[in-house]
Amino acid sequence: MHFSDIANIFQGITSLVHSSWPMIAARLGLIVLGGVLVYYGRKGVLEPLLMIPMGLGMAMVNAGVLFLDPTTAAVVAKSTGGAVLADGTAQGTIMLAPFVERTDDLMYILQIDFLQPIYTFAFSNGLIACLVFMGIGVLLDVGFLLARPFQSMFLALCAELGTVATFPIAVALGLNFNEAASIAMVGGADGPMVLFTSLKLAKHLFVPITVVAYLYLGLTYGGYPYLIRFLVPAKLRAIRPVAHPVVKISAGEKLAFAFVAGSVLCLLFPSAAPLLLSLFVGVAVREAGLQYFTNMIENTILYGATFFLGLLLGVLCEASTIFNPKVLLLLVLGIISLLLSGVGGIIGGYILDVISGRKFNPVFGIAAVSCVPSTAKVAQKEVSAVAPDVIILPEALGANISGVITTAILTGIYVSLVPLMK
Amino acid sequence: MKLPFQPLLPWLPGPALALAGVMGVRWLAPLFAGRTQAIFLVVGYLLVPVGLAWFASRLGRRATQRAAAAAKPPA
Repeated sequence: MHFSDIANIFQGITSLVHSSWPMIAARLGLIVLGGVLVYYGRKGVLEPLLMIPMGLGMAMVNAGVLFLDPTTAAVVAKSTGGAVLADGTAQGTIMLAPFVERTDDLMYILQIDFLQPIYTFAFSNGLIACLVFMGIGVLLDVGFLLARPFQSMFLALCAELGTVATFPIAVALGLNFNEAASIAMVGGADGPMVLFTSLKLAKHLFVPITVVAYLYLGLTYGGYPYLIRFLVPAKLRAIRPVAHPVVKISAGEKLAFAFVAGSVLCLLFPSAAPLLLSLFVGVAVREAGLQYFTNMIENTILYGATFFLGLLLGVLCEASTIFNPKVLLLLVLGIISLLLSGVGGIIGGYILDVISGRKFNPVFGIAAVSCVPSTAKVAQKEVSAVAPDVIILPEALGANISGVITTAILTGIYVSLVPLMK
Repeated sequence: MKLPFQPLLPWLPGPALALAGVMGVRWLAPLFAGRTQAIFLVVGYLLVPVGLAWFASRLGRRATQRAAAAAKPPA
């Protein structure tokens, strides 16, 4: 047996040593990062439902690089413009080829790569984002929003500061309008909407943008408490909200709101209509008492979509896919956007505090960042730390749900208007 | 005279305001250019959440009235 035969058996290692130094470092770095995501997912620091499949996918796709046979290598190279080696082979994986788009090539790759059918038929067309949104709709109780709509909506608009302000910052830093709008959406703190916007506006960057978004969303639970402590003194964090009588909103009223809000928003943003329909059909199914549908969406669809979303995001983090000079810029802009949204929400909280004569807890503002229900829970946790008997969660959830609606509005604005900008 | 659609009237201002926002964005704004167009767009986009919040507050008020009526002891 010749040495080259042994090298051919262990292609993962052979492909690694045959790569350039930056690519070796990127592959090993992403394997380690995958391990870190699994570790912190298991510890509960990051969202385990998403991070464990994502970390495992990220590690294994970078370990599982091999030499594709000449036919497959030619198909992939034609679509990606990548290089083919002298013997006709090329480095790649048999998990997913995200940049193959021509129908003939796609039909070939669909029979080779095991995750390609899910990617092509559920991910790259935004279906998976809509399915996750349907699940979020089923989990949302719009009654919290209906109890105090103006307050919730005002806070939610303030908490879009990052989504709005990051757009000109990103343009000033050299991104085009489509790329800038996609990364600005990270400030909306809503993964499916970032995925949807980047798929519509900047398909070439949707992998790094979505990965950056989900990584940062996982960090909101750990990072926002520091922002609250930095911006809101303990005395103000302990403000007890004015007690309002508990109002029971009937299912019919919630259903009416879902119908009117969904229809008006679709009229305004037809390009975001699939996402809006998914959200409000979830709300409608819940409020109409369709228990079989509720169970199916809440258990099967939401968890199934989240699992494949995490796995696909991990697998898409193959070094050659994610190796883009803009990634560092996206990392910086993503954190700016999320930070500004948090600051905007708290500014909104301060404005209401002043208007109400110092009776409004500014921490409510952070809950208007639409990462349901993480930011509402963070707000309650921070208030409980200084005033254990103060309960703000129900009202915070109202602001949280308004945040989902305002982020959907911002998605619609960007998806509709940015393509018109020259 | 009581019109047949009278019970619907109190519910209409919110959705009507939101629809006015939609019309402002989709039909009126394209008729103008530059700063006027930007004003129509901003006002239109803001009217939609305000209209929805108005409709939501009407629903909330209805729930409050119902709760108050239920809590009132029978005469």
